[in-house]
Amino acid sequence: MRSKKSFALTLIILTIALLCFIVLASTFGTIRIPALDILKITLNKTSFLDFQPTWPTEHETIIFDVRLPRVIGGALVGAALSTTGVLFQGLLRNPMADPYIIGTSAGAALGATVAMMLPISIAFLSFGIVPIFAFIGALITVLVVYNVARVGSRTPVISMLLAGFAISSLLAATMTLLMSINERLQIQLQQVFKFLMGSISNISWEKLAVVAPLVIIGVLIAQLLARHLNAFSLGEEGAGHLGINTEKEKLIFLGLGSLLTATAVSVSGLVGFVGLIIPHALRLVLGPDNRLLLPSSALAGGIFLIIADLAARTMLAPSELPVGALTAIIGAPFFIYLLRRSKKEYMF
Amino acid sequence: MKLKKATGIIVPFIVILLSALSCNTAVKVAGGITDDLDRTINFDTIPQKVISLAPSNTEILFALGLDDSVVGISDFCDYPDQVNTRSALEDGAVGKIARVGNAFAVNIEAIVALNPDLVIGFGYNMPYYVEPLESQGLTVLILGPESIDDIMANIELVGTIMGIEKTAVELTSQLRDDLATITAKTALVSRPGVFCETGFGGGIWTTGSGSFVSNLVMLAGGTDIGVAVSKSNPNISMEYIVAANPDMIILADAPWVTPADVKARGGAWDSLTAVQNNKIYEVVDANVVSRNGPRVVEGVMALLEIIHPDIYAELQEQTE
Repeated sequence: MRSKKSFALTLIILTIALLCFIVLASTFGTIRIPALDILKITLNKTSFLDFQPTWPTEHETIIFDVRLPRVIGGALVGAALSTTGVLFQGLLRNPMADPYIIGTSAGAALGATVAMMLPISIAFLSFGIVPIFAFIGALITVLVVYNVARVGSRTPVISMLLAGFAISSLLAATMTLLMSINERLQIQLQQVFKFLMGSISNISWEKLAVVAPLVIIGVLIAQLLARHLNAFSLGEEGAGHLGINTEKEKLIFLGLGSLLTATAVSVSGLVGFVGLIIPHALRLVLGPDNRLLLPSSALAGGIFLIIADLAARTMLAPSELPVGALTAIIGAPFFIYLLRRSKKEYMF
Repeated sequence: MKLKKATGIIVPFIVILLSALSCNTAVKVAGGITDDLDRTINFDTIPQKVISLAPSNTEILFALGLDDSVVGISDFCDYPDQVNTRSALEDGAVGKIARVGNAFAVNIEAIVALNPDLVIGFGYNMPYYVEPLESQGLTVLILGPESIDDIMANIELVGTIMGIEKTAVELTSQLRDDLATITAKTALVSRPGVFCETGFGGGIWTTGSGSFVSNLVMLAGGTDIGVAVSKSNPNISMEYIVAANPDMIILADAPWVTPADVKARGGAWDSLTAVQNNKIYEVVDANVVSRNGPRVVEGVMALLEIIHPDIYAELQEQTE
């Protein structure tokens, strides 16, 4: 049982680490820009302070218009996916659950593919047609999965998992079919895959203004319901005995997780591994109490994705690698190390 | 005296012999023809029926005047107009040109049914359709030009195979002369920085170092900032574009992006001088800058009009 003190300490350490990583990651790129300059540039923008510029103006553009939104965007995506991972692993009581398990990834991928086929160009809240369709696709799919799995007034967890799998397969096959026959997609196959493998290059402050509130509010609501999530580890009956309205809570957790995932996907495409592994890694270190696990996962997930995106945009600069591939390359060995090092048996 | 008589006989004899040898009823190049994938192909006779699986190859065939030999083309081939309008010849031997699919979806059966003597494909790696076609006994030639010189070599190669090497060399000489005229003028002026955008989604894409568009930009007197990334993964970071600050942005191969879209992007794009000065251009006919074929000079001219409009106007006046 963790004391309130160590709880607070863990979160404070993680928050400070996140802020440090945001600054540190912003120093790297095609040009190294010193951390002090970054702080000065950012503070200049707040109009409280006014440092004399000792840097070229393009550094300002690079830091403020290119790197900072990207790094912060990466943190938000990582936080959203990790939080959803914790929610779904707790809700579905399945260690293999990740944010995409109930069809969000297949729905988003199909939505994005359809968007790339259409010769129209729309913009809503500064998001283009591809992220919008991905977002809608993810949410519609979850709705369908939920309703397919529902029996009367109950939605058994196993049914949701199975329905999620079946519908994901159907949507993925549809997407492959479209890619095989549609000329427009054929020509931009590289771009299609870039979306599927994740990339945070299309980001701006306008987009963050939409994404940040969604993610932060989502994470906070999840935190408020953390104790209810703990109850779910006793099974649905057990949780029911504790006074939890299981059907209603299921819907809330599902909706919350799907919204967080859909938001993340609209920013970065499909970034895998984060939502699955961060909760597990932290469980090994901090234990399975969701009241600590949820906020820690959000912060650690943010840090992790910042690191992965840093590698993605610096390893082959000025070219970029898909961040989804790097999350697995960086994360898998680290997770294996944690698993081997843990002396106590893994508590799920 | 005797020598004069001898030369009077020997020289004409040699001339006749040489002209007989150069009359190509058979193309027997020592070791066969080598295509761009290093495959060696032997031709015993000049192909009479040719199928082209890419627009650039079709343009080469028509530019060499081989219209009548073409029996099949891809779905994307649309230049010159004759590909659509050519009708049956008098003896009925060759009719309208059949469409046999495209590089992604080749109709093997249709090709085999037409029984061509030669199929010319396009690619930098072995295309999937080579094996099925060769197993049916067809001859497949793959062209994959990387540079302007490669395109010239391809034109001459096709000319050699089809028995009209002279015509091909005349064509390439003309093209080289035209290009030399242009580069002579562009060498005298400074080169503006150019960013060539292509595609959309999942990042910012350019064409990369050594790509066709990049080469054309160089010939048209510009500096392509996209040479920093490779042709195989031409994904470029926004930072690099900001740091390079190109003088103009050309939408060379981005059919679904308009200059208005680029202007509306906001964020770091607004810091570029090219966006601030509205120097965002589209190429009117995107095909001339994306097909590595005989219209390479038109491709350079299309970019020249954007990059050095004064030189373009000068050259236009000269040809009138």
